[in-house]
Amino acid sequence: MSVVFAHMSYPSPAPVWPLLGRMSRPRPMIPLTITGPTGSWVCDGLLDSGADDTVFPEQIAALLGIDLTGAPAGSASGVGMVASQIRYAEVSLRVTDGGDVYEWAARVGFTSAPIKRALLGFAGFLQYFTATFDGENDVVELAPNGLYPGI
Amino acid sequence: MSTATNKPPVSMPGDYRKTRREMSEDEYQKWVYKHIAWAWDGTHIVAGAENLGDLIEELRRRGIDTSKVVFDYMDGPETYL
Repeated sequence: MSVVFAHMSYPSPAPVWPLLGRMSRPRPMIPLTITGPTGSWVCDGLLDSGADDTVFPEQIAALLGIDLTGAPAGSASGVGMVASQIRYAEVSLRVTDGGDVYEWAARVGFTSAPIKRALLGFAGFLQYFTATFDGENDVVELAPNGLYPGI
Repeated sequence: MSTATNKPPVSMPGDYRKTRREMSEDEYQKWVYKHIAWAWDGTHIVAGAENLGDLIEELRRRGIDTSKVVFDYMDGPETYL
């Protein structure tokens, strides 16, 4: 059992040379629901095997009813990014492709850095799945592994 | 493997991904580099703003439930690293 998502294609105004002239960039975007004590937030997140953590914009915490005061904290940096603070909380994450549904408790980060979208990294997300990035068919498949806790 | 039983059915948004794929270039350019909110039925964008905080405020100002839209970002053509 697994969920499968087609890559989202982002148009390019010019042929993308590394992709042999393709007119768009495909990216592994996953529709996701994050739920906290008092609310939920639905978004397309970027599946990112290079991200250590699963990270959301800090503004979302308030929507979810999460108070980050005194939360476990760390710092993060990425390509081109200055170091920024991340504060962590436990939430519920849910993914579905309209067929199977996976929902689990996850420890995720909230950052003040101006990220464009949620980053679905190893901690809290990819650690629970075997992810197959199928470049030929432009899809990504997520199958729960032995660590997947479920709810 | 599905989640536990006795849970209410998952409320799914409409196929906003299909709407985005089929969006005209002109329409896409209206929203490029903006945080946007898709209507729950997935048929159209209800609001957009330069930053996420402003988008949330706009939705609240218009009385739109932030848990009943899908948040997205309309990228430009730059390479992601």
